[in-house]
Amino acid sequence: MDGLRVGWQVLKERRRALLWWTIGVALLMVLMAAVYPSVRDSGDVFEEYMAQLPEAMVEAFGLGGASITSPEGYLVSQLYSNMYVIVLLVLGLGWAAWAIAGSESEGTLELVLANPVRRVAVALGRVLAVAAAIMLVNVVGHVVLAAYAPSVGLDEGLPTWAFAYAALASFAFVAVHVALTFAVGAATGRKGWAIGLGAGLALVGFLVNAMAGVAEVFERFRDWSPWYWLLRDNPVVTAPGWFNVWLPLAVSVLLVAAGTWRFHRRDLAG
Amino acid sequence: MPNAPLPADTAASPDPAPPGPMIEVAGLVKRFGRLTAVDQLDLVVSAGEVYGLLGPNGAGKTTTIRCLLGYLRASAGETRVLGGPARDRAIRRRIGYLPGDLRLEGRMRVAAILDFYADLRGGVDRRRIDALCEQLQLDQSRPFGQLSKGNRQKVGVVQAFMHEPDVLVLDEPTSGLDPLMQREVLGLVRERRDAGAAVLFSSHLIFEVEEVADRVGILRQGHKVVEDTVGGLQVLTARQSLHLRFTEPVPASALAGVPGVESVQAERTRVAVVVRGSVAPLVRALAELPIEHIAADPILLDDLFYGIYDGQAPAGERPGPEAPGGERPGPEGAKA
Repeated sequence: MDGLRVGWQVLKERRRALLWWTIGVALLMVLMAAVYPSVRDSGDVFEEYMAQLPEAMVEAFGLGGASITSPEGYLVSQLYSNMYVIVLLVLGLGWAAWAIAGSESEGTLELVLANPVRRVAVALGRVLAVAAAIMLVNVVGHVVLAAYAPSVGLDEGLPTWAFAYAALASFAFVAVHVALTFAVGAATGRKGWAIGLGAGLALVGFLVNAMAGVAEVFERFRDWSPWYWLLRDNPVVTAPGWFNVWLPLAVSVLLVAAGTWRFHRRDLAG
Repeated sequence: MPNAPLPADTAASPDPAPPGPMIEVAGLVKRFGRLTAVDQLDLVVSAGEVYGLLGPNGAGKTTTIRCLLGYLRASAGETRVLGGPARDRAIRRRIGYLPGDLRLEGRMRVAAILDFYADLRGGVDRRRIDALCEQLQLDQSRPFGQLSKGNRQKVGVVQAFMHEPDVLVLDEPTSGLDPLMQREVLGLVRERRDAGAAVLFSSHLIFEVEEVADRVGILRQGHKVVEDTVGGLQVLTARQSLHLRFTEPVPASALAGVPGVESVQAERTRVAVVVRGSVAPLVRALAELPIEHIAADPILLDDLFYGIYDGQAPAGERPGPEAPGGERPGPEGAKA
């Protein structure tokens, strides 16, 4: 109960920022959908262009054999393998690093903890607030996309719940990075380390996934890359399963639990 | 029932304060790596008592408070508030805390911040909050980030006092406040004390501690060097530093022999004197001289340390900066 109060306070404090993030992501979705007809109509030009690209780059687009001019190929290559989830990562990592470490170093955490609330409740309440913020931006973005897609034919041949699938998989992907960032911050009180490790995971995971098809060294680690969890099966046409949703969510829960456990026991930075 | 008067509250509470000290620090040691910030500290604050924790910056006051509140784990020794650890939520409910450097979310309005803290405390009568804000002249409609340092401090004061806590832990509570508000806050401290609360109050200002504390402990480099009642402390502080200006040059020797004068530093028409005890003999002596202006320094913690260590500590051991530009001579000045 106290945890929810603390989490709700975070959303209230940051409501303006959240509003702008939501508007920005919704605009990104509209823009991406609006460009689709010109990509589809140019047809072969894009296919030829893709054929010339190095294999690692094509791999990084997560097309998995789909045509870039098809709705699922276009969506995964333009949104889910890069831009969209990176935008969510920027939002999520910033908030997650602040949740404990950032507010600890700016000095605002101390007074919250002077109240009769458990540290664990504060930590979980805040991580829930971060999750809720990402989910809000993510859901609004996909509702806007789903509403706009039919008018440009971006829903052709997709499952009915395509955008819900994609929203869930995106959330699960971002959650892993957010959880790591939060956990490092909660365990150490160091915001720099938190962001560094969270962003580092995103970068290394991206490279491993992209290079896996090219170099065998990376192939071995591919299963550990959250990008692979997200992109092995095209998120737009894949219903939530253990690999693209439940595995990342379970890893996130473990990371949050470990960080919170450590936070409960350590000294607060002054 | 956070708003019931304290004696009734204590009587009605199913879990009355255990007999004995309300705040207890026993053999506390806190190390950060190789630095020992607090070393073997003992202190006790009883109900209805204000304990002033005095010391220069870096003496270990804040570290002691942070250990007491459970933000830091003691390297050795124990701290208890109301008979238990401060991390116990039932105990924390009865503590009011004002951090030395208050930071709050800048975009939130004061009223919303106070409501949030009131909620976390399980509800506080809104009238009590309004009354405190009015008393301290704090405008609740403004965002915290736009407040002056003094007004920010008031927000901290209100949240520390609003639930009428049985234990108050105040880290430099009057920093940034103007003298009038300082007085208001010290009045609030007395009010809680009279209602039976135990107050631990840190400060580096002697006059403030003298004014409100019943007992004083002086920390230096993590050690408690003195603990006494305020009455006892006044003996130590009965040393004054005066700046005299004459209409014509006066030699140091003119004042050096005056009873009570410990040191004299003369530079043409300006003379700095340190007096122990009554200034009456000096005033009589000055009446015979072409005196034009007299100014007195507030008693600083450094002076107090000089008093404590007088004749004991080597000069290099002494805390605090040297008297700036020789304006405020220490006891090392021209000895009388």
